[in-house]
Amino acid sequence: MSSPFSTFEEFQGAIDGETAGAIYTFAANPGVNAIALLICVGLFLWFMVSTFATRYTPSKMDKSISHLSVLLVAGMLTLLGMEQHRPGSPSDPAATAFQVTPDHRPSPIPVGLLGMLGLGLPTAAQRKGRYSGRRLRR
Amino acid sequence: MSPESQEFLAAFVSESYYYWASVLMLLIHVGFLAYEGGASRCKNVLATMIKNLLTLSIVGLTFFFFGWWVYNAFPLFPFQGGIVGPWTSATADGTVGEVLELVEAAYPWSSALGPNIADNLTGVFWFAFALFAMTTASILSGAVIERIKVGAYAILAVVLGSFTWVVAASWGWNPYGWFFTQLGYHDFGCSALLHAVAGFFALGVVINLGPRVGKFDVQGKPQAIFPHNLPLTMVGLMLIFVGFYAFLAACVIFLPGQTVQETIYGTPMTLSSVGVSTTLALSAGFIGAYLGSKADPFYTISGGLAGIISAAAAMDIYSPPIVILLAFIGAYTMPFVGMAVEKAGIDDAVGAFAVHGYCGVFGSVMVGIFAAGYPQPDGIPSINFFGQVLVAIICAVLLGFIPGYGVSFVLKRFNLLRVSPEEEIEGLDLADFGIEGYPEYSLITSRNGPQPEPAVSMAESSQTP
Repeated sequence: MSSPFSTFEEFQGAIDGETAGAIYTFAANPGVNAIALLICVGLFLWFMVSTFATRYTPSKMDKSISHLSVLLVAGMLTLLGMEQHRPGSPSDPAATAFQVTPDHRPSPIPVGLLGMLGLGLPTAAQRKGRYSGRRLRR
Repeated sequence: MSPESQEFLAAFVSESYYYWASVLMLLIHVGFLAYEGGASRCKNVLATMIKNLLTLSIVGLTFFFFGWWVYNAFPLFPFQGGIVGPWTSATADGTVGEVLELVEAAYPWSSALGPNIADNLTGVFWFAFALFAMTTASILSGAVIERIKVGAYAILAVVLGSFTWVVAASWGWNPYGWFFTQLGYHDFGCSALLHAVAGFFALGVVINLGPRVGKFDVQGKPQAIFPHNLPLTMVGLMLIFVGFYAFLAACVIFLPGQTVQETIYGTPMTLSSVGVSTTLALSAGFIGAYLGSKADPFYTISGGLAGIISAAAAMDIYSPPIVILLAFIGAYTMPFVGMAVEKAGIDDAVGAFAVHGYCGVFGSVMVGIFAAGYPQPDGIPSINFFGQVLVAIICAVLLGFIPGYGVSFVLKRFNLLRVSPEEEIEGLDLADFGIEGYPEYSLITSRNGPQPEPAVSMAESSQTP
């Protein structure tokens, strides 16, 4: 039995009893606590050894959707690049006169499309899965 | 020192002890603020943190209005008497009379809760219990982040924080409670009475709430939604651990006139052993969860809490090696429970059920094995396996899961539970507050990056030499 006391009076008077004040489990059976202590040391050593071999691997995202997304994103990036590096006509005096400082602002349209792509594609696919995912597997 | 001064000093020591322990317990809420804020995505960080802050006020006020009365009024109900209240005869004697005295000091209009130089202790006990209540509701708040309506959460927090767990405490963490007097139930650190109730309540809520958009794919496979700030989450958990030292210290009873520290059950204990056991449980919990989750940072840091909860129920009497073993086993198995919940299609955003619900039940049941046979005061059954298991089931099902599922079901039927999919995708910060948590790193692309300089006008350029 884990309790070193058989009556509540013994428990309250533990300071004058056999355990000299100890009130913890198996205080009257020190062998049990000794074995538990050895197991604890063993668990700790297991942990220390495991730290050399344990590597956390995050759960994988759904690859099929991400492959498609990559293709589309690559396409949009190409569009964006073309927009950013659209050549001007340096021989055109009107262009030179009216564009003293280069226009830093890219057209927002490709950026907007890119943003919508990044936000919308995986979300739309997973939203469809939300309803089937709600079913509890019994 | 005169006898009156000595008597006052004893009262002041008790008063101060519980006051500062309760102040330190506030760190649990600082910790939950950081923990849940970091666990959410950027677009929901403000809404998540506001929800945490509101927990303090919602539960604090309702605990004052009626929660403290529930704790004092329910211990005899239903097997040893009725609910004690203003309807109870003032001439009641025996146990009912003793309970009535405590109940009268618990009404919100009671003179004991205001400044009263004849009563230095009722107020600090209210303070400590109010912090316990807020902690309980905070456990729910993490599970429901990123998609619950604030109003729905407020209602659920009131039900959990100021009623259901308080009933559990009234029955099982009260010298008059029938869990203790009839079943010999022992739960020093409220493993089942608080943590299991909150964890199973949260489970009932998230079943009705449903998963976050994007949590499960078309086949129903869980997808990882990573915390936007895991370092903040880890700091938050460390703060929670500090607060838990105070929480467990506040579970020690030391009142004027006593010559030994006791548990709420009147059994002897020491504060120093709480320091040893909490530290060992925390440490063993970390390594248990590290091994069980294969070094998942989120589960590893949650393992500290899982370890404490697994050993808290009889931390007053467990030997140190038993504390380590139980904390390790509870925390090692906790990640598997979390993953099983996820596989079942349930989105518990922070693993509240695995850490609190599962470990709370585990902690309670283990008392019936490793502390069975411990004698209790006259007329009270010894600690026994049957009592520990039965109470764990009552806490989990009757006081946890059923109220959580039931109230959230009603809210859902009236379309009051969850935000719209559009709001959820946009982010609760923008939807609820119109601002972002990190405006310099805006999620709205047109607001990203440095603002372009204005082009030089024709008039200015013609003046340039």
